[in-house]
Amino acid sequence: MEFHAVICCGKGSGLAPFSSVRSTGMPKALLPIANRPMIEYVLEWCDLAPFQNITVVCDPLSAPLIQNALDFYQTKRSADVQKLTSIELVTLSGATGEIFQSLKDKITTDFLVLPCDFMTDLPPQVLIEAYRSRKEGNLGLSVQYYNTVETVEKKNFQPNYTLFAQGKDGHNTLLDMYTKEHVELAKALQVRTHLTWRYPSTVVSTQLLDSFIYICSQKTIGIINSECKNVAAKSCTKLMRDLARRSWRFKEPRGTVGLFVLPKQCSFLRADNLAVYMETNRMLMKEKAKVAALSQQTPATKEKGAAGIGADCLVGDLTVLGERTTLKQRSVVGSNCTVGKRCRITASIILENVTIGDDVVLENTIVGSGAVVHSKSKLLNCNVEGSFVVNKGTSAKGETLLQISLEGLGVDEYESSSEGESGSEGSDYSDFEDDDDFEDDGLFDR
Amino acid sequence: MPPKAKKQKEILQDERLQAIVLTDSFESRFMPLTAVTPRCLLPLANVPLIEYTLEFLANAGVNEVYLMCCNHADQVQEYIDRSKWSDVGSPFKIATIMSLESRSVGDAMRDVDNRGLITGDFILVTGDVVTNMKFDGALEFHKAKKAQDRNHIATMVLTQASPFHRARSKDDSACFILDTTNNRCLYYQDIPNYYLHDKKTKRKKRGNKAITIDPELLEDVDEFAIRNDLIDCRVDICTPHVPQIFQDNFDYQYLRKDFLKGVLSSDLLKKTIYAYITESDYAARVCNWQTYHAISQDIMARWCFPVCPDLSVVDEDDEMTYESRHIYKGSNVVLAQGCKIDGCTMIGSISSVGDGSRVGKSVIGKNVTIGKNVVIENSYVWDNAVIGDNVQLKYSVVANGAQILSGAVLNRDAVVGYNVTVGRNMTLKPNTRISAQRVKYNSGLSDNEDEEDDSLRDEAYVGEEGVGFAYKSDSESDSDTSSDDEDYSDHQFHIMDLKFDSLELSDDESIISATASKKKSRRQSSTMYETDFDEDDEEEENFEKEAIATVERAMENNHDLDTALLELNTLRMSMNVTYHEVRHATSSALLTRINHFVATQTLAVVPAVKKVLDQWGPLYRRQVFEKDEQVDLLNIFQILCSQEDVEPNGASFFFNIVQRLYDMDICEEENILKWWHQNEKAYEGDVKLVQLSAGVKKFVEWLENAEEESEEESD
Repeated sequence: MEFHAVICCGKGSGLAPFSSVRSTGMPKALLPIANRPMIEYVLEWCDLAPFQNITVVCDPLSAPLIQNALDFYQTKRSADVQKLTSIELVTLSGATGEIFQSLKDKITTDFLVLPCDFMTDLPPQVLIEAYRSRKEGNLGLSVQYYNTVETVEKKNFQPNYTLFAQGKDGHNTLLDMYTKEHVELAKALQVRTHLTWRYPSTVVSTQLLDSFIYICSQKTIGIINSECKNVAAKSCTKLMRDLARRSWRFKEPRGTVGLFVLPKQCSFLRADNLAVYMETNRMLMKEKAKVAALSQQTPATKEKGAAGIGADCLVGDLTVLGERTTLKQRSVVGSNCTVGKRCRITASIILENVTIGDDVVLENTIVGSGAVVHSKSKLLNCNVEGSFVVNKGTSAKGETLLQISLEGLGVDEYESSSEGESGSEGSDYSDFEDDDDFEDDGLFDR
Repeated sequence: MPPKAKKQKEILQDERLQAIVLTDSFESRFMPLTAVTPRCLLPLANVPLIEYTLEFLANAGVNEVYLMCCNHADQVQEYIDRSKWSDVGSPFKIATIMSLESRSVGDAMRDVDNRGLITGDFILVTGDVVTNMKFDGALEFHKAKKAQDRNHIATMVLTQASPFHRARSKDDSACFILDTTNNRCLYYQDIPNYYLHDKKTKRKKRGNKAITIDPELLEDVDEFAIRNDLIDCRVDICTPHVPQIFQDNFDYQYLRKDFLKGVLSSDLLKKTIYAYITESDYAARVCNWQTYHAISQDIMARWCFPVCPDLSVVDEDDEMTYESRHIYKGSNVVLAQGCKIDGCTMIGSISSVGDGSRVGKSVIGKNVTIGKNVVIENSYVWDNAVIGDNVQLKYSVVANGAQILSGAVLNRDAVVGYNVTVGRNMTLKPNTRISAQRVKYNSGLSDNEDEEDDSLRDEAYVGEEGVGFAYKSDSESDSDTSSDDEDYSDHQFHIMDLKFDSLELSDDESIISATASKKKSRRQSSTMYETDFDEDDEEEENFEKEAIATVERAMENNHDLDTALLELNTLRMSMNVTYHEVRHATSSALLTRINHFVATQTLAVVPAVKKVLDQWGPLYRRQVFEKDEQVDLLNIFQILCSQEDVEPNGASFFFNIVQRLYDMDICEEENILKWWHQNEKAYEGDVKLVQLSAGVKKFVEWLENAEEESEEESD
């Protein structure tokens, strides 16, 4: 297809302590879902189309690791697809908006911006079709979705106040977006009167979630570079919102941004926080169990005393499970792990190179790579950072076990640097005019 | 089975449908005509307005109608007594209620409650509705919602249109925020027409730039719509709770701005109001000249079928015939051979049109004489008027018995009152309003010139042979200047909806208040009242003390804003003090709070000001309404910040407060500049004040510069 896909690999602050915001973590794009780096799912999704060019964007630090993963993925791709598309890695140091600056020469067609953390059963053709049949004057399409997963607590989703106009023909126009935090902070949802005159029947949804999938026409690059300030410091979300606001802020209507709401029948998840990350793992495990049940393979008769692995569980290569250890309820154990005897692992995720002693009970817990859990420990609803050593007989519930290190203090360093607020009164004035209530409202998290 | 019987009885009671008609709008948009005739008896397409409302109520199946009369109540009563509605065959019982004391919709509703008129659900309607709506749908909707939702107290009937629909009043345009699943109204915000304001100063537009919705109102709502495309015809189906709520909240004045908004945002009431939206029906309200024109045209164009001039007969003797191109003629109309009648025109009986005249898109009353070579377009000539030869009438209204002598030109937006005579060859400026007697807008602040002037007529307007005086509203001066604007050509009949918004104090007045406040040096400010008003002194001191205590208590215990506002308001009313005192007390309490934060080093100056004002600044929304009050507020802060107890931070407090007030739209740019220029000179000598205002000076300079920039930008 004539599209250029841009995959943004963030640091994954929502997936701390397993993502690269901690020195022990790995880039979000490489965190495994069912023992495969999550970016592979995105690449696979792209290859369904397939798109002409794929550009993966990440920060310089994680570039080598991601490059490895991409090389590995290339080897798995079918030859047909390989011929059609190319994958390229580009490093950026700013926010995702920098795409519009740095890639302006590379992107010569309409393009998609994708996150590295989504999973969906919706084929890309649906989105492309929605984009192709867009209304005249539409510059792009923002894809949003309703949460359909009931097993994850609501607080793990952060829906925005999304303002859009419903067209009679089924085409929605995105008008504005505000985060819940911004509204709560301001104690008010402010809707410009301009907007109500241009779009007299505006619908506001408090449930729509941003998918971070945007399909943009090539023109947007020019518009954004000429009209927006500080492009590199803004996220794509914010730039799209600025584009959307163009439709009503000016006397003469300018281009609009469409809004495509994913149909409720399809499942769409973004593994951008731990709860959803676990959920995506479970979803895949459930699928696996279904497939296994359909193929009616009766599991090989178990040797007495051997480890019991549920049909909906997965164990990586080179992993050794001790006697009478059981894996239940969609648990995943990464490769190269050693699990002791008589362990009970329920609904948990264990990343690579983890050593687990005897008689350990893990329930609904994530264990980071390289961690060691000594015997007789009992962890319930815990997150164990990579390389952490859990002492013998530890019993914990709902805790996050972190390495004690100095760098822990600087977790937010990366994010705050791009949104640095100048306290000095003099420079505030420049923002007054426009950014007064358009100010950074946290729509930005990568 | 006794319980069942009881239930049946209840249903029976429900079925008697009552209607409360507010014949007065408590506005002055039709002045000076309404100085003579009550608004509900003004003719629309040659039929008194109230007839349309009563016709609608009859079709809706109402059993009892109560007309709440205030202004010219005797005329309304007389009219009703003589009308068919008081006959034996009338579809409902009708009664006029003399509610002469009422000064607002709120007062009228409290009167309804006092009199105990209401027995069940009732229709609340203004006496100026024109509609052909099928009311059954709305009533069913109301009943269904009532069954679902115990807290449901009212259903508003709204019609869908475009935001710039001609029958949608530009003065009253408002957004309804509705839950999309069940049409529950979540919030209401009036937004004066943006384009209208755009014409005037830029600043005005900035003042109303956003609709602000409290997120607490939006909890548990998945999706809602902000609707700016609804015509609010003020037909509400209410439960008996509604008058009670007005009774409990004695400060509610307006039906929408106070009552609706108040009920929706109240934590205590927990009542709900729904909106019934009809798409196919016609419903609109004659609430200003713009809608008067639009609805007249709509009626003639039969948009409101079957409410049409030829079908709804008020006077048996006067039958209208309907011809093609929407021309209506009464009986015994005399049309000269060479005259031309264009489409959408109505000519009442016994009227005559002279040779060579042209009439189009207009309504001519009964017994009107129109001379030769007259041009009448988009105008309304009421009964018994006389139009001389060669007169031009465009977008104008000529009331009963008025005479326009030959050669006069009324080009745009002229309103000629009862029995006025406009002299030969006079040309009336746009927006002129003339009445036979001198009518003053009851502002109490109008200039003295008028009173001294004992002449028999305003010759500048009506000429030497004329009879009549120009009617001036306070906002007229505003529109006069703007009407010179070339751009107005695309807003035909637009200025007819003259705005009577907040009264502006004359410049002199505000300078006096400014100098007075300047004199109040630090210590004097608290003691000044003692010397000046000995008697009031105690009460005011008490108020100051109590009000400060109230605000402090609210901040200390983290009360919600509404509670604090209510307490302050009650205090203000019981002690009978002005808003100035309330502002003074509030500001003083807030400043003490800020100072406390800073002095104890809990917060730095900027966050302290932000924190306190963000949370409690909204108190000013109910204390600062008008331009000069914003100036007053700035003066208050200036004095407070120069007092010794906030040293040494006074200057930075002051600067930050001013900036914050601007950010929060409590003080608009315009008024900050006004205040600044008033005081600027006084600063020169006073070192202390110069210090205090150094920061503010920069801010003001920035404001002035930013304005220029923004003007460039928006083009």
